[in-house]
Amino acid sequence: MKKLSYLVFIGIGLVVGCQSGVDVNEPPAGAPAFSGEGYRPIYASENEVNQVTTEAPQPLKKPGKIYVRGNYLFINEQGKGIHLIDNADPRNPKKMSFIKILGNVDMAVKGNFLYADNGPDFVVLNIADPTQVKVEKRITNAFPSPSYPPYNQIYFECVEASKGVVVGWEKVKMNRPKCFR
Amino acid sequence: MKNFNLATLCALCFAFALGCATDKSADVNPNSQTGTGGSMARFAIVGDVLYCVLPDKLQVYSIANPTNPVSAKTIPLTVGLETIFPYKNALFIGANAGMYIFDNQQPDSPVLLSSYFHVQSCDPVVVQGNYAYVTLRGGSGCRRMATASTLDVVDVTDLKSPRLINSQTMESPYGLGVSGDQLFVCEGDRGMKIFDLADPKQPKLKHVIGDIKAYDVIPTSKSLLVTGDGGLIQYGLQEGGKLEVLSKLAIEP
Repeated sequence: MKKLSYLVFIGIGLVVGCQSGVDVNEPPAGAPAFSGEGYRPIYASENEVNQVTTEAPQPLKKPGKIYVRGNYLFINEQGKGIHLIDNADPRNPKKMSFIKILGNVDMAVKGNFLYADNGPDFVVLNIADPTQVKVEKRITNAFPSPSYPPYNQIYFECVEASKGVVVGWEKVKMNRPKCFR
Repeated sequence: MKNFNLATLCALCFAFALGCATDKSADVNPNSQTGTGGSMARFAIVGDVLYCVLPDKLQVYSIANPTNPVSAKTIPLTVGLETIFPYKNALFIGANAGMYIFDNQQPDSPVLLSSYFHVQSCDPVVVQGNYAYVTLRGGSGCRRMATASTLDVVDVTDLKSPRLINSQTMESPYGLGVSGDQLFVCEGDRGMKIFDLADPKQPKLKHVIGDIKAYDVIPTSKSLLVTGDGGLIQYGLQEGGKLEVLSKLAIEP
């Protein structure tokens, strides 16, 4: 009888020990519990990143930062590029074109030149003709892409360099990923 | 009072137009070569210099030859740099550990004057006159220690010794913009708050636009541009500080 209770006791101890030992759902110290959603890197090949093209006006989907220069208005489409808008009449802004710039977040303009980040690269674009934007200069790896998304206290899939250049992050449903910040 | 506000605004516009070679508010002059970003911007141009705020350094490029940026200076700082706001002869750099103030009388060679540290947060900054307005956003997205969000007023009369003089609780503040006697603070999904700056040391809440999503705001002479998850909205400033919707560019999911 005594033996049996010892066994039961040890058995319970093992189960409890195993649970706390291998429980992957235990959040890291100080971290909130995983909500079922995390950030996944959006990858592109170097070749894709290099393709800066002028396209027909596109719908606003996930607008990011904005920039104003004279009558022009620039709206970043997060990670995708920049909407060029004629804002001479603020009651009637007109989309002129969309400049596809993968990984774009930030921009600044002086005269006819638009300075933008293009993933890890820094590009100078000539926007004298907004329907035919030209790349004047590319400085590669001016903004080394961090291996984490631009948020704190979140879970994300760890970056795998072999998959390409990270040009953005998307929040999606996933199993709890390994990385957290 | 209305006339006084208008006069103040005009005086400010005039002052900005005069100072526009070195002033952030260059957009007030539609013929200006350089534009302006919102308070969340990481890039800013002053004269022939482009500043890029990287997470751990301030990268200074000379764009004297506009098609060939040349690295002029790299200034390493602590990690967590987020925003840049040039104002007069200074650069205000918001970081998630505080704010750095640089003298940039020589734009290609900024010199660190002071740093202002507070609890860790996200903090875009805008400046007008002797006061910097900083939003500190608490919550899981930003601040590790989930404390209250605030709108702080920092006296920067002496750029070498910034002083916190006012702090008020906010909900979830993001970008902000200042123009004349009005301060616009974006509150994310909770809309935009408009503060009266009759006393620039003590912003007084006078109006809330609750039915929009506001992430960043740029006041220009023609319109007030507000961006967020819903798209871009432009407002006209009417007499007495009232806002009228001029146009919307809505998102198309």
